[in-house]
Amino acid sequence: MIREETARPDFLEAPEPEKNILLKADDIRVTFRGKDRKTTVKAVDGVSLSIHKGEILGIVGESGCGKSTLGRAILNLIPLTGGKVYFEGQDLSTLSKKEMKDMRKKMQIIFQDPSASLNPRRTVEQILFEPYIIHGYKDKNYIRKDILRLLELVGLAEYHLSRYSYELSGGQKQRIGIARALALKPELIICDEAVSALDVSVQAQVLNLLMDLKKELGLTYLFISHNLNVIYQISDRVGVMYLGRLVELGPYKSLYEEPAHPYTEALLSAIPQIHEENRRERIHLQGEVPSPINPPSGCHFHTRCPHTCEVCSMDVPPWRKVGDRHFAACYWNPKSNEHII
Amino acid sequence: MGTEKKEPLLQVKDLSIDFHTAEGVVHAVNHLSFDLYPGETLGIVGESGSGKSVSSLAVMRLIPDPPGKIVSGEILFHGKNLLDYSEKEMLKIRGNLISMIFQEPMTSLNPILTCGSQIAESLMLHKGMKKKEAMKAAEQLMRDVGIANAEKRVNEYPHQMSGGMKQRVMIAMALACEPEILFCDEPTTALDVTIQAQILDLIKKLNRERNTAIVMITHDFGVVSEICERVLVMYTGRIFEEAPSQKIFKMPKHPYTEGLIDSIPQISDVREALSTIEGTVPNPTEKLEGCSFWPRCSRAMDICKREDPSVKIIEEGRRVRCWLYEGSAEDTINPDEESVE
Repeated sequence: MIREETARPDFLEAPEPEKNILLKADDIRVTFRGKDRKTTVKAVDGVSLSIHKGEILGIVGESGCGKSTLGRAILNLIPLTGGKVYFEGQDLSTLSKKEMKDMRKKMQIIFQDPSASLNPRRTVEQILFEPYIIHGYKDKNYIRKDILRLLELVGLAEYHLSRYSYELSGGQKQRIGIARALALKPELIICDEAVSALDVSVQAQVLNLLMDLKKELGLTYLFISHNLNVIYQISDRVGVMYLGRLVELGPYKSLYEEPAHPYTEALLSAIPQIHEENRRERIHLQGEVPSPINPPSGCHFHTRCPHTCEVCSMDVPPWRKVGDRHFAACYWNPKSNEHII
Repeated sequence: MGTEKKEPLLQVKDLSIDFHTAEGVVHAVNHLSFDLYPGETLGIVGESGSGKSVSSLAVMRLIPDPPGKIVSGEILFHGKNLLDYSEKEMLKIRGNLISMIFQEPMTSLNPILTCGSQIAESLMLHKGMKKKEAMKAAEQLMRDVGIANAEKRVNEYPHQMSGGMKQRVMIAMALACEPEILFCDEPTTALDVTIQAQILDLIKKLNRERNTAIVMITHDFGVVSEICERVLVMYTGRIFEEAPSQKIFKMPKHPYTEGLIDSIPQISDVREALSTIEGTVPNPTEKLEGCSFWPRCSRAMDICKREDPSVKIIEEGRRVRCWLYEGSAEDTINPDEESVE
């Protein structure tokens, strides 16, 4: 029997009142069709999660796991194939084009490559003016004053306004990307690999800036990254994705200390650590991530899982509570080393 | 591994490399000196633009001239200066005695040749093997680097392989002639963390079993810590610090090394804001008075702004380029005349 998946970790119980939830994704799916119109890739395959006001939810996974697609789907930048996204309780799919445009003010995104996401033929001032123009602000004086406020927030100065993006360093470019995202006073910011292209010393500056801005402006982040150290540094809660599905979700501390999904465990053991005392016994995963065009049956991870058993290849594992607000979609129980079926 | 009594395999002495660009002359490498011993694992760490890749390309004599120019120095391999070799003589060294693997396995392999024939090429060239014999050897090499189904995959093209597999093909190619030195330029930066762990394990195994000296060029201190016995930290084309790797992470001496290590997010018990290094790497065409790090250094003194510090040996196997470790201002050695030992 193939069991229908019930991917609703956050809804198993409601630890906090619903009104605190800023964004809720309910079983969202994104399917891309190949050129031949026959092959399909389920980039996001039934992900449910919620982000509370003022929270930083980290999403981590390897390339091709669908983490970026998830971020874009939440913002409605990619059409959903299934499921619903609720922002402040409002179903985004019911909004008209105009209403959606207004809604976009509240949800912004920062991209990975700061060089590619800034127009090289425009000055910083023109780049920062754009969001205001798009959203119908007319008062140039107000906009200019507001831009200066943004520059100060991200640690840049007025003289940067006349610069072109190629005249800025990688870190400065990313600060402009952040300033642009902040222009319309959003509530939610999706950071898609926002520090991945930066050198470590600059990466630390930008991470600290994001933390400060969060505190100062009361922002909420969905922070997408492949870097497990960065995710640990910034997140309140962390979700781990594998081949389009969320496989584990929990508070950062308990997820890193007591990972309940074998994939999370393997990921954590693979990070090269500077200090020997932080190293974990390495779990060697067999082979590579299978193609998302034809993913394995049942639990997508069963082909590489050190704890796989018969049922894993047949059924999608249901969510299981493993700790306070901590859930894993896996049959195997690391504590008893048994499968719970 | 005892490195005391052995003769160095490779000695880089006072190497300086300039690039002539439209914006001016870039001093990419400045008076670089280091030794590499047989069977040793050496890490070269630095942020982008520190000159770490250029230095390794110089050893392979792969600096494009123009715009690049080696302005001074010697590269002694078994005591003979590679810079005096003709291009024809270099062909016998490159890929034979000294090999290199690059960051992008996707762009380093020829898309229209099978993986097997690309590995076989160097065997035919350097070992005088016939095609059939070389293909057999290529198959065995692919097996050695952990490619399953080698007998089938030897006839596959690069596009049929995943990133991790392509990097394995690159490594098989680099190892075909059993080189004495293997330069690895960010070999795992483009790979996922679980695949990175597999490749790092492979490189470690090769070093152990074949006694190949490894030079690991990377921006990732974690990778260095897992692989290397000795570390060079580079900044603005200069070595800032050299130390055994267990020591440098516990007790960095140069403020730059310290700042870099502190700015890496760690998965540890207490989570704090990251310490950062102020500012960014200086524009390489700008000429700076004094130490190239002083504008970003938290411990900069007056002398740092005026004079470039020399390299001081502070203990066995450790040298630092910093005024903090200078006995007094008078005994300055001209950095141009510094020697390694």
